[in-house]
Amino acid sequence: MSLTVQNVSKTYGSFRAVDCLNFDFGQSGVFALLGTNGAGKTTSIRIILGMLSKDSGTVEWKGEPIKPAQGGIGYLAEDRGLYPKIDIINQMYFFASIKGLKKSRAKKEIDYWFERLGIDEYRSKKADQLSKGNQQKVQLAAALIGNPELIVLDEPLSGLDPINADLFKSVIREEIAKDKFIIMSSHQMNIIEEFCNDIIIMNRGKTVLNGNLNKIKKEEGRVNLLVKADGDFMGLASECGLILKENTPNGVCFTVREEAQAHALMKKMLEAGVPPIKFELREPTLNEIFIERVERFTETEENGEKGGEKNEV
Amino acid sequence: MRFKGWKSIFSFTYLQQVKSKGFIVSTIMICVLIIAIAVLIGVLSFSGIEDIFGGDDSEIKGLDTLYICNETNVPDFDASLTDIHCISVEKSELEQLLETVKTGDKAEAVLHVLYEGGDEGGNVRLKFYRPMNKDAVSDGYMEYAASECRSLYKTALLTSLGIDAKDVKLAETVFSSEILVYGEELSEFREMLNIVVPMLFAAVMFMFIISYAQIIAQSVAMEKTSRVIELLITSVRPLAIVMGKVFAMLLVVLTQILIIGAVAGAAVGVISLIAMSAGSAELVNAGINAAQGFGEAMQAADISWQAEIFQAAPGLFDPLSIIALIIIFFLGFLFYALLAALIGAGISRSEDLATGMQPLAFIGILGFFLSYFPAAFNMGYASGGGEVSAEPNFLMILARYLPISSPFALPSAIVLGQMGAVEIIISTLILALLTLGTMMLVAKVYENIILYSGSALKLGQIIKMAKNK
Repeated sequence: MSLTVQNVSKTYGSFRAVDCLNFDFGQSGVFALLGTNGAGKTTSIRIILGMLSKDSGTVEWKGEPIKPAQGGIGYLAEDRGLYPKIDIINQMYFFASIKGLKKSRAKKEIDYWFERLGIDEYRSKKADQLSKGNQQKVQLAAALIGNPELIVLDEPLSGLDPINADLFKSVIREEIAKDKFIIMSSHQMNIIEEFCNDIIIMNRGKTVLNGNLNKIKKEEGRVNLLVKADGDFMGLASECGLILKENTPNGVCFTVREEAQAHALMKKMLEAGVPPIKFELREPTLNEIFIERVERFTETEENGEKGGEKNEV
Repeated sequence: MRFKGWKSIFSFTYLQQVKSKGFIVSTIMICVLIIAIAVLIGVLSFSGIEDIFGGDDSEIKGLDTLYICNETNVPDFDASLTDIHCISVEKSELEQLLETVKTGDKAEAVLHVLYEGGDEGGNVRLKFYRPMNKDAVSDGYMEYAASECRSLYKTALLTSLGIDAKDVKLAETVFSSEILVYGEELSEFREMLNIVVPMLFAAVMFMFIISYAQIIAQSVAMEKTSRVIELLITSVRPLAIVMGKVFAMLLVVLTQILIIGAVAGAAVGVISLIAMSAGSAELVNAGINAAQGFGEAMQAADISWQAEIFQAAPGLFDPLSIIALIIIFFLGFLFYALLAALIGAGISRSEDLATGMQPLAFIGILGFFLSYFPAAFNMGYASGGGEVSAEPNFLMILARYLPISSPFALPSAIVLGQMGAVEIIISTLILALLTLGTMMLVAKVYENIILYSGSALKLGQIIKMAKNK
């Protein structure tokens, strides 16, 4: 069982929203679809879900091309997707019915999710009477009802308080444990790092980075060095060729090209009688990788465009 | 597969719509209006008849004395009015008498008969002066007295000219003139139906079709702007969603028509029963008299009541015509509803809906006007008599074939038997073809525009999208 996306492109007029998207989501777990605003994530999700036709390429789920409205997919949209003036319970039965659930099974599942998400008391309320967080819980229940194998969560934790965010995380973990295939799109990189095995970063419709998160991090290397000490060690760092990244009350962060530079700094600090209180050599965060890759991509694109313009001149 | 899931959309939309405040309030309001009209007609019937013919003495204020100041040469006029005590007065007494009657509380009035004009002709005026206090003499009774006096004066005039009673009756014959085409004569009843039925049908069809098209557009726009549609189309194709919604709304309309029809029927029934059970001899007698009068009129015209209805509205008794009516309503509803759904799908912000719906509303109003006004003005002006023409005018014919107006104009033409089977089939086919075209357009572009976001799409842009696809 896998989700395979090959050479998928989509153009609106002269605007290329998705340009040759490729990835293989071969193992259950969470796959992250990342990108800046307008990068083409929503269009990609809509194509994957069969909502939107594509200009080219293939999307296969369990070895079969995905069909429009084929069902068996749970979708939590980024914006609230509820009827504002209709009772929550009626909406839930309706969503269950379009997923082909019989009333008895629908009742069982609705009862379970309402209990699990702590929204049982709101079943007879209208959606616009609920808080944003509770609306999101109802939406999550609507997405998970019918026990879908493929789940798409677009910004699942945005706007949630820490307690509800924790509740959502625990539900996601449970779904992972059930061998579900979850595609998650979020700007909260810490959440992605917490759950995702594989990622794809998009910018301007194109793929900037694609692969296993751990592998990517390893390839990037331990390039961040955080040092805190009572004495002044900035000169020593400079001697070792370290580049200052940022200076915070938590310590000074440097970018290192190779680990030997960090080792050299440690040696020099000890010799100089400035022993470090904190000395941490670590891999880049996903956030750092994201920013760095997207900026590099944008720069290359712009240079390419400028070069093109010059050539034209 | 393309329509999988439409039943869920259908049942959900239907249930939510009939449970909605809008549906309940509008249905109740129309029903209350119908009941109020029925009650009003009942009350007016009671009060009007009692005023004129008597009944409860404590409420009916008749006239005890009528002072008559006759300035014309017609004699013996005062003695003719048997129920009322008449007193002749001179012109010199008139002014003072008028003042007394005006301010008094007695059941008395003054009739001033005068001639206006020269030797070559003029008018006789019968001026009735009543007390200012309306409790002294009721309005209904004054009307009755005025009418009787007018008739009695005319009889007295003719008698004074030496014409005997038999000839007087003959002289009072009412004359009227009509300009007709042989074989196409219309009774007054049919003339009235020829005007009222097309207007009524056009108004009712327009109200139901356009108001529900608006609701469909709102519903589609709401699903789109609230992003519910994104959840729905993971399981149901957009075309199935829109078709489920449109058919559900059609059933909602039929439900509303059924409820209103049942209430109207019940109201008329209850009012009739109350009238019967009230046992008001006057009312029942008046009803019998009226029925007899109508029956006599029908007999005079050598036509029975049932036959008249059957001749005037044959479509009501013909199963094929009723089927045609249902098909036309269905097609007209579908045509406007699908266009409304397309407009609703083409907008990205709910506040753009009103602007988006303007062209469709304009088309609908144009269709309604074409169906409504030509029927109202279908007078045979060429005859100079203001008679209703049996032949439809050009605009009426146009309205029956033009798809934007045919859903409003065809039903009445079918009910009144003004169109032959071939004409009905041709007109229905034109409407069906346009509806089919609209369905094809919706099938082609709906799935794309429902996820479109940006400025509201115009109908021209939507058609362009269909061509490009």
